[in-house]
Amino acid sequence: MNADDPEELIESYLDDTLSVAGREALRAWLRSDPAHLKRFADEVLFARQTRAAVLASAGRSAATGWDKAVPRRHWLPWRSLAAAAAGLAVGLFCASPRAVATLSRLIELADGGFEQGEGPIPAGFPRRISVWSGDEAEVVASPDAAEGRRVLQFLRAGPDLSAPGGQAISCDVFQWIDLRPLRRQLAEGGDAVLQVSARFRDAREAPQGSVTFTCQVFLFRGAPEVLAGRWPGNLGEAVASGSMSGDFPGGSPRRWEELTARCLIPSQADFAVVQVAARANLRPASLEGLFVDDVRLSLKTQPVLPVRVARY
Amino acid sequence: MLNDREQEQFLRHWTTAQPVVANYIHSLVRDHAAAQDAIQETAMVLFRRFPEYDVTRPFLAWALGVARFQVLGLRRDLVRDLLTFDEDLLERFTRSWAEIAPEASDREAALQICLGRLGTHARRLVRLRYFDDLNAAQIAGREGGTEASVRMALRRIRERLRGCVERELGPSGSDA
Repeated sequence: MNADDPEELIESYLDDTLSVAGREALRAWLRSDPAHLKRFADEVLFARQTRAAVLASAGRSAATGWDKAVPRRHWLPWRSLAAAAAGLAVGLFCASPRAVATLSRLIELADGGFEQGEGPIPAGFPRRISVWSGDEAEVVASPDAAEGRRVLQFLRAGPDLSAPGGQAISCDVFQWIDLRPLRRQLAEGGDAVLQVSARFRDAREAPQGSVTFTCQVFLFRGAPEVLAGRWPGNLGEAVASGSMSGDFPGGSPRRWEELTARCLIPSQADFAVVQVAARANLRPASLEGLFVDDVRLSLKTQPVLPVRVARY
Repeated sequence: MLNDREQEQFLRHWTTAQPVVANYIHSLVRDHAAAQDAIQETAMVLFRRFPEYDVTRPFLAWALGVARFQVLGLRRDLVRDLLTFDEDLLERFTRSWAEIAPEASDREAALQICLGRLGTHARRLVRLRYFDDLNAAQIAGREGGTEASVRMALRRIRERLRGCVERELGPSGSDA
């Protein structure tokens, strides 16, 4: 490697092979001119964007962390049942270099596995807690379910409820969850994070126009029956929200991918809206072979500790 | 705890800043899980400290400043070599990022188009580099050739992609 060539130095930085001499040379080059630092930042950003574009093109979004180097969590059915029965599970975030004792508690989500019957879900945004409803989607039996024997199939995109007759962009399905029973736990202090995860499957056999799956959660004050009437015009009133999306090109019909969204829970939050969605990125929008299963909601709290223990 | 108005303001700011902050952290942290943790931690710190935020200053610069401290707190082996430089250089890098990243946010969509225009061999190299996360030496070992020739090829591909993206984002766009 030529340590005097900035292009080579940048290339080495990007693939983590910078030598000690190369590091010194890069530092000297960056210090020699403010424009060099800007150029370096732009090259690094361009590489990040290229990676994201490649992953998106290959159906694995960088934003979701669907990276082969990332360990994936595969919860077994018995494990979730056991955790639900126990009501509370104590875990340790081992992925974090600053591990903090964390309490993790599954929150009841009505039929998160879509196992209670088959057929179309109710149409329109839900006005009460613990029911799935939204755009055209139906629960179907599937031998390839992520969990159990049934899954939810996205069928047709629907327009925003605030603009009937408007452009149909995505197929959105929602459920309200009552957070008020958690207040005593939230009042104990520390960070409280609501985490919603769902497993998505693009069962199209051949690669074609990409689809985007999304998993979101919004927190509100007030009652669902009132808030529902103003959806989605009242999204700006959400006291917190979290979102995660991933792009799929088709061609991996049997693979389930998990998306997880998180948000901090303000103490005044009364209800949460969980949303799972599928959107075709080509027009006219066509949804076929797109499924979701195993939607889970959990509360993670970190007690207020005077010292955080670092694990190296 | 933030009041309703502050929470709404925070939400608006963070929604805009989050992609830029996430890219910044990933550019400095080689371990994916550690980078994700740092992003979450940054969001939490910003949320808690939002009452201290000076609204006369850009939110992104403030957010990147907090992210910088999160990165500095990570284990050394999780972080790329830039951090073995010094804090002054990292601070200047962060300021540069705050300047260029918002302007470059529309490049990714153009890049997807431009990747489709690469030839078969170039596309394969790009896939090995960015999808399989192989470095130049590993690609050379798999594809033949030398590490230097792979670096040169990747550099030329990057230049081609840059040219294509600039044309795509130009005043009228182009199919060239």
